[in-house]
This record gives sequence, C-alpha cells and structure tokens, in this order.
Amino acid sequence: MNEPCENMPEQIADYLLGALDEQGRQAVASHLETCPACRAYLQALQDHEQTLVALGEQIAAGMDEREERVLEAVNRPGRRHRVLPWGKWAVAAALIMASGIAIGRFTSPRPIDAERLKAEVQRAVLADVNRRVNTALAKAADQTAEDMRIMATQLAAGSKAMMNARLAELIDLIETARRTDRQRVADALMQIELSRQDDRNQIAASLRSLATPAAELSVPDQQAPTSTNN
Amino acid sequence: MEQQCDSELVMAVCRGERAAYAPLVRRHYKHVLLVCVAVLGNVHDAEDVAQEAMIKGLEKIRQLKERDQFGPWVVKIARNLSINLLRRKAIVERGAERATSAPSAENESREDVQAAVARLPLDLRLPLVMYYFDGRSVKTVAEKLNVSTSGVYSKLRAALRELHTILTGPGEEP
Repeated sequence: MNEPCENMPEQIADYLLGALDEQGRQAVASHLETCPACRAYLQALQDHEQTLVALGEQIAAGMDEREERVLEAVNRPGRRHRVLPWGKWAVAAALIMASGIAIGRFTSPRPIDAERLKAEVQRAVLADVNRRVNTALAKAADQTAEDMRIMATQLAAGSKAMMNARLAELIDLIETARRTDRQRVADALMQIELSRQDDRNQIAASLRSLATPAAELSVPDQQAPTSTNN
Repeated sequence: MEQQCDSELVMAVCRGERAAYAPLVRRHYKHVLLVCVAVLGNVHDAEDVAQEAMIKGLEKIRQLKERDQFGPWVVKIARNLSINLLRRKAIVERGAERATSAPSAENESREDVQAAVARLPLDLRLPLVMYYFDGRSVKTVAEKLNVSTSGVYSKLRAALRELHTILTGPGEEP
C-alpha cells in the first residue's frame, strides 16, 4: 500500500474522529478526493474502527450476565465478614490494654527504698560520668593519656562536687523544714499552756465567785447588829 | 422510582445499607470492565479483575472522601489491579506472542486488531478501548479518565496511527 502524504495521517485520524472544525474537515475531504494513498489510509483506519466497535459489541453482549455475577460475588456471605473500621481498633485497644495489664503486674511500683534509690542515683551519675569521659576521650584523640586521665578525674571530681552540693542543699532544706516544724510545735505547746493558764484562772475566778455569795450572806448576819446599832 | 445519585448511594452503603451498592455496580461496572480490558488486553482476565475491583470498592468505600467520585475512584482501583496483574503475569509478552501467532481464518481480522490493541502503550490503549467499546463518546472517556477532551482526541489520534502501524508493519508479514 502506498504511504499517505506527509502530515496527512494525523489530519486523517482527526477527520475520522470528528476532531476537526468545519474548515479543517473540508480541507481534508478535498485532499482525499484527489489522493488515492490518503483515501486508502482513511479506509484502513475505518476498517480498524469497525473491528474495534465489533469487539466492543462482543464484550457488551454479555454485560448483564457479568453484572449479575459481580453482584452475586459482592453479596456472597463469605465477603461479609470484613472487619469494620472501628472493629480493628477495638481489637488493637484490647491487645494494648492486655499488654499493659501484663506489664503492669510485673512492674507495679513498690514502697520506695531510700538506700536503693540513692545507690541507683549514684550508679546513674557514675554511668553518666563514664559516658562523658568516654566521649571526651574519643574527641581528644590527640591528647596524651596523662591529659585524658586528668580530664577524666576533673570531670569525675566536678560531678562528685556537684552531687555533694545538691545533697547539701537538700539536707539544708530538710533541716529548715524540721526547724520550722519544731518551732510550730513549740508555738502550739505554748498556746496550749497559755490556754491552760487561762482556764485555771477562770476556774479560780469561778470558785471565788461561788465562794463570795456565802461570805456576803454571812456578812449581813454579822453586820445586822451593826446596822441595827446604827 | 427516582434515581439516587452516586454520593447518596455511597452514603447509604457507608451506613450499612448493602443493597445500595447494587445500583453503583450497574452504573459503573461497564467502565470498570473496559478499563480492565484496555489494560490487560483480554476479556477473560479483565472479567476477574473487574469483579475484584467492584468487591474492593465495597470493602474500601468508607475510605472514599469525595462521595460523588465513586466512578473515577473504582475505575482507578480497577486500573491498578489490572496493572498489578499485568506485572505478575507478564501479559504484555504473552499478548505480543498472540499477535505473532497464526489466527484462525474466520476471525483473522478481529484477533489481529485485538492483539494489536494489546501491544499499544497503556496510555494509548486505555482511551482507545474506552472510546470504541463504549459508544464513541470523547466526553465520557474524558470524564472517566479525568482528562480534557482535547487530551482524549490527541491520545485517540496517536492510538489509531500506532494501531495501523502495528497491523501493517513488518512483524505482521506472513
């Protein structure tokens, strides 16, 4: 078959697809009237089109049956047991909770052991010191071993001094708190003592006031003769 | 009965009304199948993958954010599943083998064209199949593939020319 004219295959395809405007369509139609090679090309494309359409019709012929098969497959009971979105989260949450409970049983807090805590803090501080020493050693590869030992000692001493200072601050705080408590207890005892004293005074006054009427009653008896004497 | 739009049906399915999925299948299965045919190059595999795509569409429908976009979404699922199958089974090579094998006399033209379609690059094959297998509407193809109509015309033009080259090229000589 002769080849179509240069640049024409594209226009012929567009002509076939209906993609040209009126002017373009007429131009191609005019060319086709005078060019057998381009007419043959158009005819070949039309043949392909017809075959494609026939293939499409062949597929479309069984479409209803296919749709029914798909609907059956979609509604098949086996397809229904999918996990709902919240379902999988519920399962995950249950697993996490179970793990948490299991971990909690083995790691539940015990009463604080001050000595043990102190030992742990010391171990942690020493580990930190070691780590810093190792880091310093790595960074100071060009320094002598003596310098590095000095540096390590300084770092350790620095950390120890820091820890001692912190402990001293803590002890001061505790002492201050104790002093304050003692002062409060003393104040309270003083207050109690004062109120006791007040109570005693009041009781004494009451006793006196009880004793006084008897005296007063006895006085007129003693004074009566005096007044009568007057 | 008044026809419900896609977004209403999608919402109904999300609420648990499974029956609402049937109209979505009837509305979109054809394009799903055509995309599968276009990618895989044969109807048999395409039917299996299209069915799988519709089932996946139901299973994952809650993940669909734009509910009025069910069609393009399920078509995309179908396309991805088809490409995955194509990779697994290396259907491209088998399609090429089919193209060079001798077809029976009565179906020669149709099988030749089908084999040639299978040999087209995917970006040309997809619009070509959707256009000729589904009413020759450029607008529909553009909507389904989410491209412009001029883009579809461009692909169709190139696909027709490439198809012709494959069918008349030296590889097809007896």
